[in-house]
Amino acid sequence: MKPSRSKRLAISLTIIGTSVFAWVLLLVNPGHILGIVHCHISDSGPSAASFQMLLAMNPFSSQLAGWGLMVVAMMLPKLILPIQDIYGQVFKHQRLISVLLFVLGYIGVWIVAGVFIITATLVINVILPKSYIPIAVIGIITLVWQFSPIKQRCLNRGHVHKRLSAFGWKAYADVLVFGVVHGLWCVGSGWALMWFPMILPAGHNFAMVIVTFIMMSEHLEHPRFPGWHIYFSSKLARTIFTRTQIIIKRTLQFN
Amino acid sequence: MPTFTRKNAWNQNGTLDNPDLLWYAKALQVMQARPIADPTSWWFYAAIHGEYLLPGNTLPKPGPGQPDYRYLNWVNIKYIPVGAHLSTVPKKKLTDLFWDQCQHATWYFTPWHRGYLVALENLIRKIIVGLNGPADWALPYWNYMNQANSGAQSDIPPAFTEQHLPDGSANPLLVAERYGSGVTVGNGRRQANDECQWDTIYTEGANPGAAGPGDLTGYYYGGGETGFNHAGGEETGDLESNPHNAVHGMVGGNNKAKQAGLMGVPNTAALDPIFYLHHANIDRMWAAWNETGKNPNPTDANWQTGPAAHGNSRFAMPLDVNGTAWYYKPKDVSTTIGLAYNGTTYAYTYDDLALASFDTKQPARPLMNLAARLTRLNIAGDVKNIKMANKKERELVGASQGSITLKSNETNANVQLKTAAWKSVSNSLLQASVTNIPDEVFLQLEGVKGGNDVNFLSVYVNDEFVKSVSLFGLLNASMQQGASSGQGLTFKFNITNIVDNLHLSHNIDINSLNVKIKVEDELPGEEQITIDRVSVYRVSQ
Ligand SMILES: [Cu+2]
Repeated sequence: MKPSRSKRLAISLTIIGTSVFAWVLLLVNPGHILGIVHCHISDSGPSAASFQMLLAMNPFSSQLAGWGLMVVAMMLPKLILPIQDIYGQVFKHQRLISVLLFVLGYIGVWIVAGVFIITATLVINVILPKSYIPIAVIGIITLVWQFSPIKQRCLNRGHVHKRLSAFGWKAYADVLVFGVVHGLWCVGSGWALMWFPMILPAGHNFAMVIVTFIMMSEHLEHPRFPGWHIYFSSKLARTIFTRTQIIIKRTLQFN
Repeated sequence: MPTFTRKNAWNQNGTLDNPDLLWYAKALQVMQARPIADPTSWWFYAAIHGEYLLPGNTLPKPGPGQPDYRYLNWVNIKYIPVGAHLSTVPKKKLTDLFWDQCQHATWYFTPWHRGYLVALENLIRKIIVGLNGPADWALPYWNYMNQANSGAQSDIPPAFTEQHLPDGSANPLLVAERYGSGVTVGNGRRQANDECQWDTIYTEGANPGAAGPGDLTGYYYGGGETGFNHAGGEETGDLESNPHNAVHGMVGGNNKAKQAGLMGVPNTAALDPIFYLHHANIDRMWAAWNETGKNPNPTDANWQTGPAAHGNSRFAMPLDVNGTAWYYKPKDVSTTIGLAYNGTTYAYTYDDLALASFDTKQPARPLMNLAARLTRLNIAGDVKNIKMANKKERELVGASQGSITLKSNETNANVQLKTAAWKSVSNSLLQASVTNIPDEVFLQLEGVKGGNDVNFLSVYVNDEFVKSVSLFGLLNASMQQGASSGQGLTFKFNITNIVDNLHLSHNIDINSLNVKIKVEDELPGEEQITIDRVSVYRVSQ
């Protein structure tokens, strides 16, 4: 049974709050505490000739931490519906741990994907430093993937919400597996879009915002038949527009 | 504009002597002669509800040992003539906007279908006027609940089974793939009734209703709040569940090969002309619930705005051959008089707005009424001023372990209860008072998957009969294609009654509930029905 309206709202706000916090860290990056992966080009400068040097200036671990932060900021809002669903179908005292296990499984998959993406990014930077060729190539790959049936299949599967076992260790295993599986479909649909801002020589923050918008929007769309669709989702924009109208209307009604 | 009156299809004994039916048939001949690419054709209109025709939507060749549902693909349906030109589908722009819109298992079920009927009614009237027919024609309704001539009206009106119209032409109301002959009315297993008319609350939500007969045996009149995604059917309201779904299954029926009739499956149902008379009756019941029952529709902006409130498509109906669209919101159609139609107002009513036709007295089952429930629990006090709680907390109380496969006949499932959670339920009963209304308890069959939509499941808890449910929509919900993610259907039952009984007989200290599920129609060889989980929830009041 889905949680009550007020519970659903509380869940949404908690998740959005966490995501906003991660965004602030990403964008403000106070005192450069985070070796954010996308900063490496300016850090390393034109002298970055070797892989070692690049790595020395951008430790892999801190790049991965930056990636993780990016995932939290950009992906967490997409987890609102499955988290509400989990919250509703597990026993009360298991709600928090179940949700955390789900998020862990989900982010775990993205971190593994991050290892590949970061490595590939570093290699590209060694071979073609400060070049626009990689972004052009990856831009094309992203677009092709975007309109492909495989991507649509991944998006469709992302709508499947698993029924969880209620009792015993299986309850925990199920929710973890749900997180991993959900993460796999999500990486399948979003890996190219996530890679794109990282490879941009400039303007990655702006690109990240745009990419988040696109991913949220396509995630909200209903499943469709997988095929080649040249299609840009406007669902998030429409949703924000009507939600704002409704909130204004409600506020006026109550005052 | 005049107010049109929709009349009983059983006038003139439901024969073609009934001018409403005769002109309906004549107009259908015109619409059915048009190709599917024409937005004013019968075939286009049926596809607005749902279809198995577009490449993404057709039912695939089954795997080895799997049941074959390809007989439902429109190209295989005998009722559709060659002249429909199924091979030339409308432009993508039109199919994207209009097709596959039907709103089932959501709180938009009633308003979407009202707009659908209004658009069709206007289209048909225009055709009838063109044929020199009556300018005040309105869609007749089939009230299968009507008890006037000892229940004869439960049968499909005879006009729908004649071979020919009086002029000797083929009768378009006759459908080869309609296998049911009528509706079985009653309050027992595998029966349709209008008990839902005694509900007093359209939906959950921000405006708590006064205490009284609300959703105490079901799940609200119009369904639960539908948000961003509505996979599953957890939100199916009482009107939609029974009679709506039940009648679909009964009229569709099965043939000898255990194939479902058109009416039994959402994506073929609107091909059958009886569909619109069934829905006119559902619409009539909703109107009666508002006008005679004095029950309001939701004032919540989320409902009034429709799916667009969550960025989904607006409701749209084609008005002419070019596919000019009438867009509408639930708010536009929440009344039948002064309905906002395509920039003007439109008005219709029914010649019979009695609240109920079969369950004409408030059902005796104690739980239809909160006052009766409290009396039964020996709780003294005045219930008149109790408001339903705004914040109802929901909590899982117990669940089955693993999934369940249903065979023909009956299957027993053990729902193990979590001690602490069940204690909350029993404590709420022990400490109950007028200001502290005890928990309601719900049973859910979650992720029900299978393929035979016209079947029914009857559910018992600890050997007490709870309800029969129609599996209308099962096939679509179980397929991973189109707009479905294949999660199956979810059915929700209010079993508070049964838990109250356990409390009253001092038998509430238990650690499991027995849930018995009967499959009403025998399953053919390869067919099976599975349930992911059977769960019990408490809802604090
Ligand atoms: Cu229907």
